[in-house]
Amino acid sequence: MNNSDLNENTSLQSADDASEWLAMQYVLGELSAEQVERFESAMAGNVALCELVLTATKLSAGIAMAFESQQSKASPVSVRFETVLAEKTVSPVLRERQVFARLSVFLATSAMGLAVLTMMTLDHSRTSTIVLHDDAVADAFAMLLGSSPSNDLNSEFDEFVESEDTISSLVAPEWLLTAVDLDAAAELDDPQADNPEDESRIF
Amino acid sequence: MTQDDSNRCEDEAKSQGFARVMVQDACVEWETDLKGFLLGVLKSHHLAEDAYQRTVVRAIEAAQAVRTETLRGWLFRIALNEGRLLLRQRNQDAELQASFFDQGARDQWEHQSSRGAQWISGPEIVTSEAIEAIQQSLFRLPAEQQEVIRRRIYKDQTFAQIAEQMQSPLGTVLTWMRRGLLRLKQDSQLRAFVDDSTEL
Repeated sequence: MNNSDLNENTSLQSADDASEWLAMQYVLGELSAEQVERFESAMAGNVALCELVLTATKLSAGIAMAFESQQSKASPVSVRFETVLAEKTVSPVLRERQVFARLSVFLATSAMGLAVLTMMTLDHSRTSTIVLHDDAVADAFAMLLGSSPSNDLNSEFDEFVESEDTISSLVAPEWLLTAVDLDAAAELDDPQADNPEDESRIF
Repeated sequence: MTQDDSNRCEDEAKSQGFARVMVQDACVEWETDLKGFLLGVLKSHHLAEDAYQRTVVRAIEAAQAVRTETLRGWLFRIALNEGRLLLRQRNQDAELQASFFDQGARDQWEHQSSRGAQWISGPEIVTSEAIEAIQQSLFRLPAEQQEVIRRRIYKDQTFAQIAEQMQSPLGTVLTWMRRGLLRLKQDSQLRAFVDDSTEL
């Protein structure tokens, strides 16, 4: 093969390589709109260019799937390795974050508790009426109100927080209960119940 | 109608039928290649499938005009025309729809319609044997060529991004890409696939 043949072959190869590279650029979307238009017009008159586009598409798809396959094959081990590495790398930071989170929760809870106590204390000094719908809630409020150091107990619930020692003072005397029973019985038997001044029937 | 006319009509009908059958068979035989070609043109599996169906219909309609020796090229030309037509229609429809969308939706459509690596991969384009051969050939490439090819085709990064991240000039990156692809083409294992593009 002489030099001219070699040069011709080289130039042809270069031309083929250039066409292949152009086809690959077309497939990868590297060409401008004008270049795309020109290339597609060239393809319409040159079937070889269509074949080059087909080859470029298949090669690109094969490359993408080859890397994808490599990624998926490596993933079970690499994921485990990366997970362990991530844990070792991140754990001091993670621990700090956990401590910070717990501290934040504790402080927030404490602040809320103090706020509730303060609110209850303030409410305890007011004359507003609290409507209690639930016995449990009533008990909780009762406990809070009972532990309050304030002496200005002007609520109508004062009697419910009396200590056990003073409960006996709320119990009606025996004679009063008897009188009530006798009065009730008299109303049922005698229509003269409207004369309560008559004490003769009592004793 | 004379006997000759009748015979002529019969012959024409037979040849039309024969041509249609020939075109139908060719469309089935080269379905993968035609779809692969359309995928390269349209950058979308969905559009490539649509364009292929239109190609088959159009080819059968024009079956009478084909010659056996130029059948493959003739089908590729029809496929190219149908693909470009479909793309033009799609762009017109998309522009019409985008005019009703707010800017956020329009941006989202533009992002979706722009290139992405997902369109290129698909099991119907290349065989598993070809994928394995390509993988082995890739590993034989120099590291920088392999990396550029991986970033451009698999990660769908632009050459500018690749150049920045690899801290190399853009021209160098393009050269690596081109040489890497050339070496893949010249690789002995891939040669059997590349020489006969229908086998890839």
